[in-house]
Amino acid sequence: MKRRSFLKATLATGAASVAVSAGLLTPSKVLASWNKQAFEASTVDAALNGVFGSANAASSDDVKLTAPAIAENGAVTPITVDASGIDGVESIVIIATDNPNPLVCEYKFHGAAQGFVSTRIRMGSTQTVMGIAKVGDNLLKAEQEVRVTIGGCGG
Amino acid sequence: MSINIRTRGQVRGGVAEIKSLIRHPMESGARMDQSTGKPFPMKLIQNVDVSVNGNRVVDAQWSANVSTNPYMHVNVAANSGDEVTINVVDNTGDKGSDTFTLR
Repeated sequence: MKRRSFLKATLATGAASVAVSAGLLTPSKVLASWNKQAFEASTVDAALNGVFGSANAASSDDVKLTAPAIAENGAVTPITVDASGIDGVESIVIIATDNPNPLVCEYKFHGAAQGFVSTRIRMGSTQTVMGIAKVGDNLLKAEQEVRVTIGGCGG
Repeated sequence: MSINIRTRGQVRGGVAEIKSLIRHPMESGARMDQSTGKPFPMKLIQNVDVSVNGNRVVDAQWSANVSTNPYMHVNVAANSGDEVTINVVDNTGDKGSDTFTLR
């Protein structure tokens, strides 16, 4: 390694560790941040307040939630939230309203990303799934009930 | 231990569909091991981010409500030749990363 770049690298990491020890940057923030309060919330309103600071979401046709009407296996329920028809979607949150901790995931979008997410979630029982998109100061939601049949009889 | 990620990207009309499959147990920490009577230790991917050409475009936080071996599909305006990187970190500090070039 070249002496100059070696010095630079040591100085940089040195400065970072000083910042951490001085409490300027908490270690969890350096690596990653996780919204513990919102994820551990046990009600839908508390989860939304934890993420957005508001639980006031209005239903919108511009947010499309795609979910199966009947999920035979609640452990892998495919959910798609599509708000790509709207410009400037800042984030999308998926909520499984009757799960012990309703907040499933939060996606934030920057720059070239579109307001679209498709993923697979766990559901403990038959319940309503919500997709919520944050556009400016507004929260737009779509919801659908998904029936979960446990036991695999398909009934 | 690094987390295994498999990603595919396809550009359609200026939009890249980026689909990832991540191998991970997504253990909530609440599920009981019947044989020992103790819970399985929590092991959960909490942070995911997607970058295109070094610019972060999506960052996500996950809970235990995301299925085992998570699947994620996001759409980003991008062109063929752009470089896409997916990074994940779980609560035990294990990391995974996958980089590929859009065709």
